[in-house]
Amino acid sequence: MLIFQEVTRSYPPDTTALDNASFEIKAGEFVSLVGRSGAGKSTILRLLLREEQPSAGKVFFQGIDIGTFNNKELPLYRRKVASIFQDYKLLSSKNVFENVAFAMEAAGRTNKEIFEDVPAALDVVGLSGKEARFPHELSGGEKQRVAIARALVQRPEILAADEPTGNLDPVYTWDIANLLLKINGLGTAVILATHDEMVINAIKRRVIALHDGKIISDQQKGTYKIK
Amino acid sequence: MTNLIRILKNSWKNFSRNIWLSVATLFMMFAALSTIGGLTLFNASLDAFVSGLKDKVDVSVYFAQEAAENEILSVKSTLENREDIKTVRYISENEAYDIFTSRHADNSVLLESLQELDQNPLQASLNIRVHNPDQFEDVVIFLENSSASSIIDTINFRENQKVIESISMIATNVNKAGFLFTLILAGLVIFVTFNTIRLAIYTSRDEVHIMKLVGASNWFARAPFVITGAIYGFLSGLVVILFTFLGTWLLHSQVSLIFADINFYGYFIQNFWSFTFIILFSGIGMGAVSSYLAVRRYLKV
Repeated sequence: MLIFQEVTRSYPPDTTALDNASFEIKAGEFVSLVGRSGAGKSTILRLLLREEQPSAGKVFFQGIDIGTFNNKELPLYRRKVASIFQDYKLLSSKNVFENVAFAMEAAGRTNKEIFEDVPAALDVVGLSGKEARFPHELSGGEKQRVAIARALVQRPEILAADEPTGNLDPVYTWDIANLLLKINGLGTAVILATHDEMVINAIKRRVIALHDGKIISDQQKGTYKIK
Repeated sequence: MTNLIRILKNSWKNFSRNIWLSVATLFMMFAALSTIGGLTLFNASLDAFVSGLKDKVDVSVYFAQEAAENEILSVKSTLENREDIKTVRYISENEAYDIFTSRHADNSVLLESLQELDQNPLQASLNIRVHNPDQFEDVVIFLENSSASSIIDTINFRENQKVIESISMIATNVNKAGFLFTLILAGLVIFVTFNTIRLAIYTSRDEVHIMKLVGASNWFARAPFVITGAIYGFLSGLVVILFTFLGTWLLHSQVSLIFADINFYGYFIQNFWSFTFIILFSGIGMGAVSSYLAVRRYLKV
């Protein structure tokens, strides 16, 4: 479903964030990207979301080079690849319900669908009853759940999670990890970039380890091992 | 249609949920639109001043004593057919006498010496006004070369030519300076408005980024900002119109005392709809276009 083919991402004058990386992710897989800060984990996710373009190589989604998407095709692609981030990236002027509904509005879904799916997604992440709260009124864990609910209603093919537990305490960390496994159980491929050794070792899924922009290992039932 | 309603709702939420930012932006746009309103009134008063100045300029054609009234009236109708002529007024010998005596009513010596004469020494004349003082020369040349030249005694153009030319030049220069001033100030207003909106949108740059990441099209992400910009322009425009009404109404009598030719309040009432259109169109246009341009750079995600 997703193929990184000899992808390099470099920045002037001489920084290489990702160096000739190649891997494939199948539909419904759960893959963790591990490595120290600056290893290239976030670069892979930014390339996947096409926030950035490779300096060399290609990224294919369902057989199509995502670098060829034009302004009309790119939003359609991003609706299939949801994302959650360490800093949550919620719309600060919208409340919980509106934040989740926005992704559906942007996709042109009907009001009926929105009023059915948003409460259901908020129920899944345990935020029922907090629909009217604004991001500044929520804890870090709750904010991340809103972001996950927003990703859920997109019914994405892939969920890209960039250090989603980076700002959370252990209790919330487990909550979020369990939610990601739940989403993966529904058939969505999850790509989790994280530092969290405990989470990686507990979930026992595929692990791709990176060091200085290079893939140093790719294990089907991996554990947290970095250089 | 659903999308349009969503965009309008999002625009209103943008505006109302960032109320302090909205108030600050409204205040800046109010200042910018007030300048446009002021410029409109300034140009109107400049026009009134220039046309008042031009209206004060006239040329009189004096006819020989033996010229018959019907000959003079024939010259009058010939002149009236010319496009450059604004008005031609016939002043008969008797009327000229009446004007003279009433003008010098307090000068008994002059009036007594006039009565000593056997006949009225004053000549019949045509008082000519043209649309533009530059056109006097053509009219005078026309009269001097026409068949009427035999009954014309004098034309006071040559004596007043320098004064007429000076007034004409002042009028042209005042118009030019007014245009230049308007242009500079309008440029400044656009610059200030664009930067105000740009600052307001700068605070929302992360939101635009997030919208793009969750799959919003450029149009869906941009439109609420453009409409919010238009709302800023519309609301500040309404306040400017209200303030202009109150301002011109309150200052009306004082301004009229100093500048007799200038009536801001009268101009405002007379041109209410065009003034409203200029202010609202400028406000909505500048707000929407500035927002459109300001969001553009954050859409490149």
